[in-house]
This record gives sequence, structure tokens and C-alpha cells, in this order.
Amino acid sequence: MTTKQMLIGMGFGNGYGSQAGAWRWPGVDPKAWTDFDTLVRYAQMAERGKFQFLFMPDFQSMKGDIATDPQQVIMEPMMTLAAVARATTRIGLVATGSTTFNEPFNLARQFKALDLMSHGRVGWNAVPTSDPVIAANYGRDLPPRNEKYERLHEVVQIVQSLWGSWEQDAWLHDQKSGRFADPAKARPVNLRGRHVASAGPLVLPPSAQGQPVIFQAGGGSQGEEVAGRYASGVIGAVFTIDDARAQRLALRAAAERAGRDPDEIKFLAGVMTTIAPDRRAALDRRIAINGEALGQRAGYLGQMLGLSLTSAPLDSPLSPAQLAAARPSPYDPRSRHALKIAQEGWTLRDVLAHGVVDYHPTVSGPPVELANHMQEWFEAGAADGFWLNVDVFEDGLPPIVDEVVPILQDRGLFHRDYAGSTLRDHLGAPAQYGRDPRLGHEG
Amino acid sequence: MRTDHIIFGTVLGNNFGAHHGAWRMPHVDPSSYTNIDATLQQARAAERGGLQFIFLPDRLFLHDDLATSAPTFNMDPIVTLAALVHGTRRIGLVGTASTSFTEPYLLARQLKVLDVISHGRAGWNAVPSYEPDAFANFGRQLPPREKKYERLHEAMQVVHALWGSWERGAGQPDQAGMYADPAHIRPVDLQGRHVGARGPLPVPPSEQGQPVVVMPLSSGYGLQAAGMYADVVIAMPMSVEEGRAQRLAVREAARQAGRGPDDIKFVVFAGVTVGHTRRAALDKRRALDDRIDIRGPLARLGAVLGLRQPFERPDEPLDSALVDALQPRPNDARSLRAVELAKAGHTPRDILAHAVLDPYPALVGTAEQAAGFLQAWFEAEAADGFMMCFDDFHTDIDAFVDHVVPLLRERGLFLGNEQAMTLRGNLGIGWNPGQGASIRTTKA
Repeated sequence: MTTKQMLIGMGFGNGYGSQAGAWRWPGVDPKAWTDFDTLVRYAQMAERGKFQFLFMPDFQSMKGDIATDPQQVIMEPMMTLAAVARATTRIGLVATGSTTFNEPFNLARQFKALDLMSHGRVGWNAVPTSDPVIAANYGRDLPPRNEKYERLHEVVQIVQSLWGSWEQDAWLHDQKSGRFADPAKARPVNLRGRHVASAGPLVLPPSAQGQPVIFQAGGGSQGEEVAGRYASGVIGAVFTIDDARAQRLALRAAAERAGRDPDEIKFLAGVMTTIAPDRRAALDRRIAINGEALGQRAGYLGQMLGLSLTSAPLDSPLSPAQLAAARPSPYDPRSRHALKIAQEGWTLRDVLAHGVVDYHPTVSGPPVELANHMQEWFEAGAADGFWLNVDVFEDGLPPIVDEVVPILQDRGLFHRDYAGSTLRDHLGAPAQYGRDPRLGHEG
Repeated sequence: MRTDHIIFGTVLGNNFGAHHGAWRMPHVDPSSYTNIDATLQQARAAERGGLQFIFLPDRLFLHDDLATSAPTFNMDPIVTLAALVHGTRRIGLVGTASTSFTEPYLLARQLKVLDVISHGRAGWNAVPSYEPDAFANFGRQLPPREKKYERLHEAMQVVHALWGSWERGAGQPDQAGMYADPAHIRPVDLQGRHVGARGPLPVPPSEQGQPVVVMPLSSGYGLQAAGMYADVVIAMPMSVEEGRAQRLAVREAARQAGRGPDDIKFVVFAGVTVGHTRRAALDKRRALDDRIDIRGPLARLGAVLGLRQPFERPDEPLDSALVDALQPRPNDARSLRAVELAKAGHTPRDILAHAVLDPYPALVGTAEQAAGFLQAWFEAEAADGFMMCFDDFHTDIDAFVDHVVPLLRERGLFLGNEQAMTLRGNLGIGWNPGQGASIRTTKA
């Protein structure tokens, strides 16, 4: 194979950025959440940076305090994909679609339609719903975990079968003979599981990549099995190189167990980014973006370190006594890094501004620091690539595109341009149409 | 009492047209079927002419004969409309989505987001599914008829409640103040036998408040539901008399639901094929008919004329003795028209070229004749507007827009989509934020 290079994707959240306070940042249009022109502009920026994909999480319920913060996810992933697909030509478009309260026929049709419209750039992050507040929006209770995963497998298999139900050579569109398609090659699938069923066929021809690629995220060992069987990309949330490497190896092993080549499954570690001329400027930026909210995380930090920090002064470092008493929580993988930062003597506010209580490792500093982080993780085998959570898209994305990407390209770690045109190409995922014949389908 | 000006929608769908021969026309790229650029081009042609909306039908199963023609519907309607937002500015975007299979929360969310990103141009053709094959695609059995409407009522109420759960009073994001006022964003807490939702739906109102609701005309339960929820009812009357009667029934249904009769616009399906002369228009249709197996339509024409044998010479006028004996089927507008044309000496193929067998009234002729046909229906109060079904999307939309629409504008009958920025505005209907959501009873 050619020299291995990393994959880069971008979390495409709410149109402002990954930090809750991004909507208040100067230069940000506070109405960006409902303004698709802005979203399209950011997608095009990411494409200029040759990112292989955008990733749209989803949460089907209102969350948080709407008085102070916007929703952290896009209004709706499929509408967003459709709009962004029109305005881009190469970047992959991965949307989350829950397998718990959605019908396989609807998922199959919407995702394949988008794949056709985008000329083969779509991915489906197939995940179950885990929050009961979401279930309440369907008037239901959350099913038990095992049932959710049972349904997930059924949904994925039915969706893929429906995708393949219009065979690759079914479409003739022969004007002279008047043969539109070969009906013998667009047949029902007639699948019935315990939870879902569908007859088919789905009257959509293959896209430029055949059918959408599958992504996966979360879910512990059951999620790992799902990823191993179906996923070309896994959206990760890990804090240390060791954890990431372990997860990546576990996923590769899961793929092998399922009968696939481990290279087919790409593990993408999350990174939260703040680009500024130096560490101090980056911390000040994060402090300014987050405002009051930053201080409110002191309690979490305290829990991570076994200390009581809710009322601790934000403008002082932790005292020697506090540092001596600190016990990093074995249950929170962020704890050791948090303690290390605290031990460097930063004020409590600055410690929090390092992003120690964020969902992914945070890199705050000049462009080369982000490039170094990504290189270090990539070369340690911790990830096949990254999905970036940009603090504020408006002024936080351009430096990544204009400065970080060229560093990685110059180091030979990232491609200079898209070699192919589909998401399958970008990921190096093998051709697949319908279900994967290598998997044992017990249903 | 009639609406002031004609409402026009146009059906799009498979990027070819209503006629099964359209995909084979030489000027048509047969791979248009999956080409969203073609859809956009067709939408823009309609927009250019000032038509108030485009309409995407749907069918959740394979119905057509794939061997010879394209399925009438293909891509998902709502996703397709989202792809058309950026390239259009004024035209309404109405898509069909079944109330039978999708969770109301997801439906409400997609439709309202479409509305927001299009700045108030979205519409939902809300239909309950009734075909066994559609239900089979969702692994379910067809419910009894009254249960179909039970779920429809519940789904409509949940969707409307969710749409209303983020009120205008929540305001706009203020960087120096609140993102949105939670006092105006509230749960809906609805639970029915089939569906439910807690809410709220975190999507703000669009410029038109919420999507316009379109519903097909149906009798009994369906008419009652339309009276309660619809802003527009679409129907397929085959004669002016039938149209008048249906329109009055819809207005009465609105009254029964406690609304004003003008609150619901009555839009009928119609076809128009335009040529410089009638002959030229007929030839356009003939060119399409030449690209399908005409034996089926000829047989149906025979049946419509009351004949027992197939036509021996479809390119010659009927035997005069035969013609004299023809009796149209009573109360069948199509039969009446077919007999008229036969008596006028047209050949069977030419009778077909007059579009007599189309499932909606169709005019094949000059622009004057087409404008006159539409005007007659409108002025007879048989319709507030028309859902245009064009044989060939690649050419007929432009022809209609270039030749027929200007005549209607000249006659003061059509003002176009420049009247307002939103679909609701261009249809001349208001927004009642509580509509649909406040109705709790489901009358059996």
C-alpha cells in the first residue's frame, strides 16, 4: 500500500462551534444555527482544507439551558446534508441516524437518496438512542440495551439489503429499446426480524459509491461488535494515546472476527481545537469564549481529582496541600492529564481553560501544536485519523485549513488533494453493495 | 365567493414527466432519474413563471412497470426539497410524507427545518397510507380504515403541537442577552394510542410560522380531517360540476371544524400541453405516445367509448355508422369527451392525443385554449388553483410559463409568487399558531 496518511474530519455541530459560548463570539452571526448559508460556508472551508468528511451528530430532544446556550447539534442532519451536498463536491458527509426509533425503509431511502445527490459521499453513523429524554419524544420508554442492539443489527442489515435491492446492473435506461430497467433485478428483499421488517425493493439505483458507508460510535463491547461487522469509520472519544491505541486495536480485532480486513475499519480520535499564537493567547481565547460557564466546571474537576473545588478561587493555582491530596479518579480517563496540568501551576481558571473537563483532548496553542498532537497520535498507532471539534468555526477553522493542514501535508502525513471522489475512496473502504457477503448473517 | 387569483402548483418527481414515454424523448437524458440538477432546473422553470409551489408526490412501494418506464417517485421528497432550497428563492416546496410510518417528532423536525432553511416556503402533503405494499415495506399489516385516520389525527396533532412548541415570543438570539426565552419554548406532552411526544421541538418558527399543510381530498374521515388541518386540499375532479361540488364540500368541512371557508384553498389536478396550433400540440402528445406501447391505452379508449372490439385502424377516423351509435357513459366526463372527439372525426390515436384518458382534466391545444380552460374552471368556482401535471418536465414547464401564464397575467387572473416572501403569503392564507394542535377530539 502507499505511505499511510491520516484522515481528517470535522465535527459539524450547531453552526457556531464546539464551545457552548461560541455563539456570543465577536464576528459570529448569532443566527447561524438556522442559517444554512453559514453552514455551507464552513463546509466549503473544510473542503478547501481537504478534510475527508464532515460528521453530524444528532440528539432528538432539546438539551441544556436555551436561555444561555444554543443546542449543540444541528437542527436536523438530513436537511443539512442535502443543503451542504449541493455546495460541495468532494468532502464526505456523515450523518447520525438512530436505529432505535427510525424505520429501516425510511433510513434506507433518505440515506441512499442523499448518496445519489452527493455523487457518493454519504456515510450513516448507525447508533442506538441512549437517552430516555429522546425516547420520550416518541412517547416511549427506552428499550433495554440488548434489545436496542438486536434492533440495530436488524436495521442495518435490512437497510443494506434494501440498498442492494436495485441491483447494480438493473438500470438500463435504453431509450431505443424502451427498456427502463430489468424488473428481475429489482426484487423485494422480504426480511423480517424480531423488531423490524421490510419487503422492498427500494427503487434507487447505485450511487457513485454504490451505497452509503457505515460509521459507528460508542457503545462499549456491543458497539465494538457493530463496528467490527459493518463500520468503515468509527468516531472515537478517547483522552490518551494508550486508550486510543487499545480501542483501535480492539476494533481491528473485531473486524477480523467478523471476517473483514482490519485495515477496512478506520478509528478517528476526537480533538478539540483552539488555535492562537501561543498557549497564553489560546487560554485567554478559551476563557473569553466560555465566560461564566468555565468556572462552573470546577466542580467536575474536583470530582476528577477527589477534591472539593466548587468554591475554590478561580484566579489561584491549586495549593500544595490540594495538589498533595489530589487523587486522580480511576474511572475518568481525563483525570491524570488534568492533574498534570494543575501541577504545572496554572490558575484554576487556566487549568479549566486547558479543556481538561472537555469531551476530547484539547489542543490550545499555535498551529504547529495541533499538527504535533495529531502526528504523535497517528505515529503511535493510536488513530487512523481525527475528527476535529473547532472551538468557533468563524475564526477557528481558517487557521486549521490555512496553517495546520499545510504543516501536515509538508510532513507527508496528510494528502494534498482528494485522489478519489467518493467517501468510500477517501476512507479506502472496499466496494460493497447490499450486505457484506463475508459476514455470517444469522440475523 | 372565490379566491382572488389563481394558485398554481406543479408536480415534479422522477425528473421525466407524467407521461411514461417522456424518458425516451431525444432531448431527455435518460439518466435524469437520479439527477438532482434536473429537478432543480425544473423547479427554477416553474419559479421563473411565478408558480406558487412545486409538489413532490410519493409512493412508498414499487407500483410502476420498471421494464418500460421510470417509477413516478424515487428520491425521498423531503430530502429532495432540501436540496432545492439553495437554488430557488420564491417558489414553495411542497412534499408528500405519509402519516402512517414515521415518528411525528422526526417528521415535524424535518418539515419545520425545511421551512426554516427555505425562509418559509415549505409545505407538507400529509397523506395516510393505505396500500398493503406500503405497509409491507414497514413490516406491518394494513390497519382497518378507521384506525388509519386515528393515527393520522394523532400524528397531525403531535406534529402541529411540536411546531408550535417554540413560539415567536422566544425571540432571536441576542449575544448580549438570551439565546432564546425558555418561557416560550414548552413541552407538548401528548400521548395517543399510536404516537406521542413530550417535546419541545428545538426548531424556531420560520418566516411563515410553520409549514403549510396540504391534504388530498377524501370522503368521510378524510374530508373531516382535511377540514380540521389542511391549508390546501388537492383533488382530481373530472368536470367543472364535480369540482364545484367538491370545493363546496371542502369549504363546508372547514366550517364544521370551526374555521373560515376561505381558510382552505381547493386546488385541482390539471394537464396542459401547449402548441402554436392545436395540431402542433396534439403532435407533441403523439410524439410521447409513440414511445410507449399504445395498445393498452387504445384498449382503454375502446372501453371508454363502449366498444367491444379493439380498433382495427387506429390511424383512421371511426366508421361513421359506429360513430353514430356511440353513447357516452352517463356522468363520465372522459367518456363524454371521447365520444365528442370521435364524432368530430378524430382518429383513435388523435383522440388519445387529446389526453382524454389522463386521470385529470387536460387541455391539449394553443396557449389561448389552455388559458381559457383554466380560466373557465376558476371562474366557475370549481377550483382556487391548479396542480399542473406536465407530460414532459424538460419542455412543458417552460412552454406553460412562456405562453400560458402571461395570458393569465394579462387577464388579471394570476399574480405570481412575487406577492409575498413565503408560501403562506403567496397562497393568501394566514397562520393560526394553535391550529391543529388545539383539536383534541377524534370524531369517529
